[in-house]
Amino acid sequence: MAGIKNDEWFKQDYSPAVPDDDEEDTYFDDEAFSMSEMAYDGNKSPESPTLINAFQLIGMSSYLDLSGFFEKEDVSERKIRFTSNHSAKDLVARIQDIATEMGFRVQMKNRRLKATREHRGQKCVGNLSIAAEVFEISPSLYVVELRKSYGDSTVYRQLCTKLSKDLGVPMGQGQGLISIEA
Amino acid sequence: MHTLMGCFCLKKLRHKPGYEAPINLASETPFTVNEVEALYDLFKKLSSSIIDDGLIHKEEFQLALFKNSNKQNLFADRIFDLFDIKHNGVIEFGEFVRSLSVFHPNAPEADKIAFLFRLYDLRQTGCIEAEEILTFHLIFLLYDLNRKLKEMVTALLCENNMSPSEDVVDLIVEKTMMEADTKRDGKIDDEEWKEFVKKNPSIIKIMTLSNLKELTLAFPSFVMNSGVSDL
Repeated sequence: MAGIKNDEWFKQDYSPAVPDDDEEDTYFDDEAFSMSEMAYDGNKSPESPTLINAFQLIGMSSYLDLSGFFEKEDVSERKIRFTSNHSAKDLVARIQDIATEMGFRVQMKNRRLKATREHRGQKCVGNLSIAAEVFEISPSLYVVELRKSYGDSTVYRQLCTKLSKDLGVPMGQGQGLISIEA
Repeated sequence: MHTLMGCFCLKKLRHKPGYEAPINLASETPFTVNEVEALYDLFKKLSSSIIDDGLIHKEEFQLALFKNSNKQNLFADRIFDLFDIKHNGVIEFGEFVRSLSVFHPNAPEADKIAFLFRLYDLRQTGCIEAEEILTFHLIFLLYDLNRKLKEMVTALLCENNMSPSEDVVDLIVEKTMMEADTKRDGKIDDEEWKEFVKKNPSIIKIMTLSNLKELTLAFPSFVMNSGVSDL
């Protein structure tokens, strides 16, 4: 599999299928993306965090994620969620800062963030694309969901560790960081 | 002639019950014949993991998804039930492909909305009731989130002078019902559900598996064996 992907023949005109994180396809289109074009839901202001509804919350459950059929990695290696008391604005800003520091190209829209690190011409090692989203549970409690779209698991774990440290949320079984497995 | 018929019978016997020819399944789903054959590779792997009988049992389903055959969960139970179209306690190949097809990025949105509605309709009454949503939430809190969240929530509520008995989860459910239950009858029916999903399209995000677009890459072995080429 990796052999095929590394072959020059395969690489011609190939861009990895990026899982659709969002329902709106033009969401992260570089040309279309501009402050003025930021759409917002209903009468919420563009800067207000996404107020989670019950079905979105349920949908976060890894038990409803059927990608397990196709992925070798356990879901906890691909998706993390953690709670935070920091404001949504703070959270998004800090994630953006850290990702940029680590050499990621960051695209943002409202409370959604996409960060990609690609080294063209080299092997895929070190490449990573993640998507992060901040949800409001209550005015002082937020949930951050961080998903690996594709790429290097080690880099992903590095990023998660760094974020947890900076946002004051210890990694692993500690308080705040919610591991997917019960 | 008789020997020819014998050959046909033998070929049929090789396949387990519930097997449907890839060409038939491809014609009724967004999958190509090659993709259905790739799914057959996956199905063979999953259906033989614990009991090698060409059928996916509950434990094998759990093992495939959670890497743990003992991990039981209400959500997983609901999905298994929905995949088990014939309700005979096992998932056959045909059922497997047809059910997965709803998760295909190209599957009709109406199918995804309908599937999710049936998933959340725990008691299968034709409507989603507040208690059913609450049940899911309790499961979510118990299984997915650690206790710290509940403690944090309680602490926060006290800090913000909200009555400690007020459950944030209750609030979320209440708010959701208010938004979705436009007929104000205490439950969300099919019509209200469609309207609600239209206003909040991220709800059906979980009904699309991008992996399904890369099937033929994930299971390349069949390419050698397949007699059919993708058109």
